[in-house]
Amino acid sequence: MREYTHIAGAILIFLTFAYLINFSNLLIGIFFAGWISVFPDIIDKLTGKHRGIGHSIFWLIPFTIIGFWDLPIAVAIIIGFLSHIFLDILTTHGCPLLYPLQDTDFVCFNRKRRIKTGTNQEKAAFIFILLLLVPVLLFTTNIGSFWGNSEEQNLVFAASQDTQNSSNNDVVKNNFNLNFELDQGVNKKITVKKVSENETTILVDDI
Amino acid sequence: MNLIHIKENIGNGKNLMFYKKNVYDCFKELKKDYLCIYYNEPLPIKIRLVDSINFISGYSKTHLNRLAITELTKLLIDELKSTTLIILFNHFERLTERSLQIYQYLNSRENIHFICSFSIVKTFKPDVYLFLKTFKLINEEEYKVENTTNEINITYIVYAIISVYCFFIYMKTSFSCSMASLLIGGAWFAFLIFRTLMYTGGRS
Repeated sequence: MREYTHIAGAILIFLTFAYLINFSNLLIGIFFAGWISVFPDIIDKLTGKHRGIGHSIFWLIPFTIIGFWDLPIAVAIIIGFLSHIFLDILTTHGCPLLYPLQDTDFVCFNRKRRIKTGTNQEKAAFIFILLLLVPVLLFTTNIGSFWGNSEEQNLVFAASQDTQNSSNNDVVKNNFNLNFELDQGVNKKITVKKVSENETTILVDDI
Repeated sequence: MNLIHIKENIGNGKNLMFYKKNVYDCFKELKKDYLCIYYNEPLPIKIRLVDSINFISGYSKTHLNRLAITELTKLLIDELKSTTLIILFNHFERLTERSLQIYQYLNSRENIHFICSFSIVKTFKPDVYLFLKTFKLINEEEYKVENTTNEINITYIVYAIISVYCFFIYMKTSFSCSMASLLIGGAWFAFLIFRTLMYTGGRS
């Protein structure tokens, strides 16, 4: 498949996976997943054999080792790589997953139904991925919150826990227990008021 | 396969088939030892029969053209008597039902052998396969490299992985009904728009 399809596919799969595991570093993840999704083709261009060593599943070993150094980046890289493998499996010639050991191509579907690179079939697959990617991108990266109803405000009440300071018998208030039940995917404007003093506003992006 | 092996196979009464080779090269070698007729393609059958009889017996083409295909076939066999004839042609895949009957009839004679070649496998007609069975494929390795694929189909594994992945996404999403409805509704709406545009506007 072409680079643009691989990049779109990698970002889509990464975003859905990030959503599943509550991954926080989305931008870094998108960058690494998108970049690594073209990595197999770059390697194969360098080695001169298309669908060769670059498309081998054994690349997962060094990528996993990166995880000991930086787990989020390793996750993004692994997902970007696997998305490339997955999309190439859907193409006519498939993907030699066990390349240096075995030359067998792993394929999907009947030969006639497989996606031929660069054809309208691939463009259709790209549009399909793009149509899924846009809403997923909007809501996982919180961009969608701009369309959220900012007029709606959820009320929350804080209950204080009064503790007795034994040294000077002063009463201090601390450790507020705040329980929130708010809609997800919107910015939360939480106002904390202290009686007859300044008002403090805390903006929580996401929980 | 070298010329000795080809002659050996012909001597054993076998028809020979080449994949993506020009049998004219064989013709040049074999015509020294056998009565050989070469055509680039097996059709049209009447013209091929006329040419063959003209070459073997020297009958004028004008006279032969007046005869029907069955008469020409009979005449060819009669003229040959017991002489071994090798018919060589390329594009075996172009054989039609009618021409096939004639060639099969000629093939039933012990003294007529065929050396042919084919290049496109997909266009073989079902009847041609029966005739093809009487041939021995010489460059089988070459044919296998180009036409048999070394692949493992993992369609069901891919389906299972996608299904499990979607299951987990749905489980996660379903904790927020509004989010689930937004995502599914949004995607569905986009597909409707796309489909409508495809239906009204077409592709070009």
